[in-house]
Amino acid sequence: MGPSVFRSRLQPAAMAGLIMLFLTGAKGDSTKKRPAVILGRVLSYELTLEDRVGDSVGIAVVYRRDDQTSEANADDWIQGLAELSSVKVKDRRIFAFKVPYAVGEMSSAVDKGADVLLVADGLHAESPSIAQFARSRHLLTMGNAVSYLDTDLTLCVTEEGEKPKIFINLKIAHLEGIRFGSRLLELATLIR
Amino acid sequence: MTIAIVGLCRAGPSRAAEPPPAASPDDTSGKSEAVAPSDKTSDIEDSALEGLLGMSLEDKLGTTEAVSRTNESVLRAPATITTLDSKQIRLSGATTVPEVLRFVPGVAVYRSAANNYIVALRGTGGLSGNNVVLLIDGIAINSPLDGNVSWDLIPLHVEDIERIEVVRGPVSPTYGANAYTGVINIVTRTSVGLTPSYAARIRAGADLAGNPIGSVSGRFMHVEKKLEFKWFMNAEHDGTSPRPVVSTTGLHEHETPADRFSLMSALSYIPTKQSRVSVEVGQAWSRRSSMEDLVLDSVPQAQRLIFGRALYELRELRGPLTSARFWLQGTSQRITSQKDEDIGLSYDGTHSLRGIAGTDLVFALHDTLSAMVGGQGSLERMDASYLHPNANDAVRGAYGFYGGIKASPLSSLDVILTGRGDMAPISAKLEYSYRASAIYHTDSWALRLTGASAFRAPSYVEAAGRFVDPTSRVILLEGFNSIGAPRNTSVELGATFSPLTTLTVSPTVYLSRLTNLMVEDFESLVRRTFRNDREPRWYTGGELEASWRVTDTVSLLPSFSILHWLDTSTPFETNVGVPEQNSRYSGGLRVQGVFGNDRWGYGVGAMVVSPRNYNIRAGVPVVILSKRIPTSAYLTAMIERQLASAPSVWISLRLSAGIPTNVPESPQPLASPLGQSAILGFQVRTD
Repeated sequence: MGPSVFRSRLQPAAMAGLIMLFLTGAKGDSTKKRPAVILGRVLSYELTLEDRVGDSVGIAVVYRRDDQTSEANADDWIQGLAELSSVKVKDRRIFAFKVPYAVGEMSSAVDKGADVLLVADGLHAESPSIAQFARSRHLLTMGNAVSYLDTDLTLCVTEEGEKPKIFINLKIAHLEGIRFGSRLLELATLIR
Repeated sequence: MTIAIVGLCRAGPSRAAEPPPAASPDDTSGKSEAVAPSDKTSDIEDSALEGLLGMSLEDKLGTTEAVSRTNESVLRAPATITTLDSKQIRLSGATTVPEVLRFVPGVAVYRSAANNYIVALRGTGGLSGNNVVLLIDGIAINSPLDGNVSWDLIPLHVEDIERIEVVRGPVSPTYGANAYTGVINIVTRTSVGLTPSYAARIRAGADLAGNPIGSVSGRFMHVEKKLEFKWFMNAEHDGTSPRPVVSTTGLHEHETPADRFSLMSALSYIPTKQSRVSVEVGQAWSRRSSMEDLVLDSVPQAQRLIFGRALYELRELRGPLTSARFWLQGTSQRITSQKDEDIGLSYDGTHSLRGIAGTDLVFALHDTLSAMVGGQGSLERMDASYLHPNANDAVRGAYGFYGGIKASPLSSLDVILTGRGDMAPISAKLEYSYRASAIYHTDSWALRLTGASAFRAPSYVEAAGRFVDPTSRVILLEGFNSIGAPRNTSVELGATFSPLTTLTVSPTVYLSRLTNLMVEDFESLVRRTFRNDREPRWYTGGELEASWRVTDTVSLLPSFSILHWLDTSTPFETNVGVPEQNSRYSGGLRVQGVFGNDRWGYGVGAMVVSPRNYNIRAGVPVVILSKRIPTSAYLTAMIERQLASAPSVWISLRLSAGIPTNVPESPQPLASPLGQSAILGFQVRTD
């Protein structure tokens, strides 16, 4: 447990307020701003994070190269994740970048520091191989759609109407060597 | 690349990659685009996840089936309800359900001996334990003999409970007889997420006198396609028992340690999201001190409960019928007790059998109007040596039926009306109960006004008891079939609000009127009979509870309740509803949390209750009890530490103490003090 746990909790309320303020105020700039901030908070509940990442947390947004919808979806995520550039998760900065789907590209993404593979739309057929790639390297996988979680990926942060929701497939999380804190599991919808 | 993962691979150092430089907004030539950190940073841990998720109060409180027997949100349920989840239960440090319930406002818990408790809700403290209904996954396990709850017959370990729902106030419109001060519903653990999931525990400890306490317990759950299987086992020994030197008759010396063993399993077939067929069976065996309302002596008494239920459920249907439930249920309970000729009445040889068939249906009549109807029929047989020969060993039928409507004239307003009729098996009288509720709710607060009336059916003992002293041939106990059902009519105003994202506060005030209460009528000082008190008893009370997650590592759970009797001028002869037998104030605080990446868990709690006075006649043969229980406190603490993560192995230490140390909290003449105990435990579990 870091010393930050015991620091004054007046700051959290202010932080939460600020985050909500810019989320509601800036909504429309990117459809993924709110899910991106929630993803950042979700990462703070990952019990295995400190053991598997270095001084920063890298998020690689994987998209289909020749699919404009897929790439637009990835761009939305990149834009949303830009909001995390000013926050830290467990004293680690967050950075994000996008990579076209290909085993070689993903390997290079790992070399660049990817700890999370965020799979954009249009890669359902490839998600089993992405899952396989991630499991052997203990990367956390996340899908843009809940349907990715049926058999392949661990996490999805999405919005149902106006409400953000977190979905977790615990079975796949264990295959990736990922464990989450009990508080997150209480608030997330667990996929059986 | 080498990655260190706790529990999977510990080889090699952590990877420390530097973030790539920020991409220029104009740079579109690269295969990847990067967003790099800015210089000014703050910790994302400082924001509440509930706030980020935009969770309303209704989302945070979840749903329940305990109030209406249909799925509804806790915020909009028509009764006061406290929900204790599995994490709260584990971190409470409690080893039994009654110990968990001590911290719920409006609930009074008195321990007479190891595993022998009386739990009373809202002003019904005394020696009787039949003022509340206890459900295990919706199956009532109250004794058919007298409606008493034997808390030692709960067929699973306290940590194999998903949640405990405590509904306070009259709930007979949903559950029929005996739910006249409330219902406590225990929901068994569910296998959400991981499959298979399991837990295995071993615990050992002692009190300050060196009396041992220990348990072995576990669960296993597996989901395979459309099948779900659950299995629970619990074996416990509690030697922190009373050591009465002299019995009520002045002749005995007994030690009565408590032992229990239970098994429970459930198999469900879930062909679609809308339907489920499940079969649950369980058995619990327990041996503990006999001390109860009629038996004041402390001799070993064993009970065996066997129960089973087959359930067919349909949910979220699209037609006018939106949900349906059909069930068949059976219970058998047998009591054996060490019996001496000179101790008077004993429950030895009591055996009851009960079979119930029932249905619950919900119809959507309109977008804003739904109707609930249901009913049940039962057959039961009671065999007990202390019943009148005409009443003993006969098969009796009973039935109950209910109907209700729920209207939402405004999106933020629910109005719920429910009525029910029940015919009790022994008195063969039809009793009615009803409830009317209006709930106004927003995203951050709700206000509930409820009026309800409910009853307790006269027990076999009260309506058909006859115990003849084998030596003197004097009748020491006699019941009358004309006895009426005690009734609780109550109006309550409750609120729930959330001033902070992580804080929920629920105050409730109520006004109750108890009528037709049972009077212990001792015509000749030795003969115990019953009649109804025609004098109504009025009282009012308030309950306050809050849940504040101060940080991810600290949660505060305060509770407070107050009870005030409006008329104390007439003498009280009843066995419940006596002002002096109920603490006027009680208040408690629990502090719980996990830290160190969830590898540590802790909980401390303190509960203080104000004094009680007993001046009653009890037992068969009759004994006058005159006892004052001073202000007392219950203290508990626990800490647990994860030793390994694959598999997840935990070590825990639990401490508990009652203060004052030498005064029992029960008025039973042979009751033992709570004492102080320490328990060390090891557990392997999937989280």
